[in-house]
Amino acid sequence: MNEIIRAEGLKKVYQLDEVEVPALRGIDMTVEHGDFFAIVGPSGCGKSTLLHLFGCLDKPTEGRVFFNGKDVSTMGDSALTRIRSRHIGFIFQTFNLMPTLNAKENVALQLRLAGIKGARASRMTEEALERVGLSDRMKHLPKQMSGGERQRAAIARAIAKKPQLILADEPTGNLDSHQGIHIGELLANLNTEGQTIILVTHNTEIAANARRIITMRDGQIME
Amino acid sequence: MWTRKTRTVLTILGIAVALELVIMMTTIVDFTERSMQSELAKYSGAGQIYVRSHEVAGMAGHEFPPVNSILREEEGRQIIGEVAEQVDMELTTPLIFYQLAPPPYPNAAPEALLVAVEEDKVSAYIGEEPVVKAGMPAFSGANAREVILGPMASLYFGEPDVGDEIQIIGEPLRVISLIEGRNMEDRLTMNVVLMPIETAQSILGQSESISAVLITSARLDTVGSLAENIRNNHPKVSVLTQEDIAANLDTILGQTRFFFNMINYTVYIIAAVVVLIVMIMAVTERTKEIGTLRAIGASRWLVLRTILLEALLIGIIGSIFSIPVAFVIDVSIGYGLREIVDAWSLVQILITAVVLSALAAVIPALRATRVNPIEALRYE
Repeated sequence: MNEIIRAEGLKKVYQLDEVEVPALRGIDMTVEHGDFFAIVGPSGCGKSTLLHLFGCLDKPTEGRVFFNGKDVSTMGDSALTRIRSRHIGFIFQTFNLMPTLNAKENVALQLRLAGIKGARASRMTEEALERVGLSDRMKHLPKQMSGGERQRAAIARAIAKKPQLILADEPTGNLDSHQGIHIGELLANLNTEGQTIILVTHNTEIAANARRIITMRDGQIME
Repeated sequence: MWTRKTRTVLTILGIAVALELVIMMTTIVDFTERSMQSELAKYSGAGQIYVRSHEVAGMAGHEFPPVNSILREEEGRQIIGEVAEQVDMELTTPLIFYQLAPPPYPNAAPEALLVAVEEDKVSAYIGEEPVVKAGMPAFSGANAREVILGPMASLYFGEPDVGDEIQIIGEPLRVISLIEGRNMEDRLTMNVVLMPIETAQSILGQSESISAVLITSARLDTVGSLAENIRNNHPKVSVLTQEDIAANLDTILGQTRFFFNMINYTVYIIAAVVVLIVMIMAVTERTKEIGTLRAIGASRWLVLRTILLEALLIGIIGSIFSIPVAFVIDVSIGYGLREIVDAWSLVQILITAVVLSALAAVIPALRATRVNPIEALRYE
């Protein structure tokens, strides 16, 4: 079995005051090591919710999520935190870099959270920043970088610890089309090197970089 | 960033100023305590007993000097006569106390205090070896219109020279000597306006009354029995030994300490609340960063530790800054902080402040650990 993520009958309902809002209405899917999945669909279709469940950031209302064969839907906060810190890399729409840390420090912080320190951490940080083309921007603070550079620094942060899975939530949402295409190509290259990626986007051009595309609507997978 | 820097600097400054206030309050308590201990030490081994009228209602403890006490001179002299064989007569005298100028601050001695002794018993009150600045501290006769001034009293009367006349309750008196205190805390000598007892009775218009009797026991080990005898023979008078005066000073000191401690606790609470508010604001402002940290694998414990460390750092920097601020203020008012506040008190104040800063951050830190990464990531 080569699966990294398996979802079984996933349902998620948000409670907004007195109103129950269903975000996922029963998802069954499997992601295998080396996959590049793009989940597309309109806003509010539940794609980010699904990503949060895969990323061990949230728990389903019903159903189960398996990470490397282990049911994470019943795990406690410490166990989920450990999985996130060691095995999952996150890429966010708004980059979410620490504003007071430079590019290198941002990447190093992620490595420290994964328990990697010292010379090894320094070497892995530099490798990751080189991999995304930011060797000459290591000492720059996020505010001193363009949007595209910030997102590449965020990708470096996500890949530095060599995670088993990268989850990218609208990574091109805050970038112009040119920079967006570049980020899409970067993700595709990472996948070519064996990195498993799940990408959530409503940009079909970026989604075209993925090996498999699934479309969601109203909390369900359409195709 | 700038907003955060400004707020952090202001918080550190707030803590520094608050601690400076605590240091000053501690200084004042220490100063008062040492002053009173020094005053108490003056009686230590002196074998002195003060006989005075019973306390006036509403007065706390054994008031000293007994300015409100009134004794019949005849009774006072009778008491002296009864114990004459057991006392040092050179240092035993009737006394009159009269407040010429009120105390400059609560619990302090009057700024100028008329003290009258028998004309040849000056040393009974100011000691056998007073520090003389000018003139001879000895009266020419029982009715001599002469005064000896302590430094604070001299200041009150416009710093007259020896030979000058000063007006006391409308009467002219000649200054025959100026004396100094043994040190800055010598409260008995500082404010004294010393004159012969008959002169004082004439000025005050109380020819047959005195305030108290000062009895100096010939032997230190008989002070207790001497006081007891006087109490038994004269139940209508009050007898103050050194222990009574010590108890009185202790009561006053206790009240002073309580008052200043209340101010200190309030200041500590204010400093803690400042840190609490700043840390709550910092956590609220950094919800997105904290959420990101949690998302990429920071544990709740790490978040808690980070916030507490930040507060601890603010407390430490504020504490360190408070010392130079306190010394600058101290030098500017010439209070002599370095001589008064000991290093251990200072260390205790600083440790309390740092611990309080960390404790004040516990609530915001716990709040930070409850940040939901998903909510934080949506937070724009």
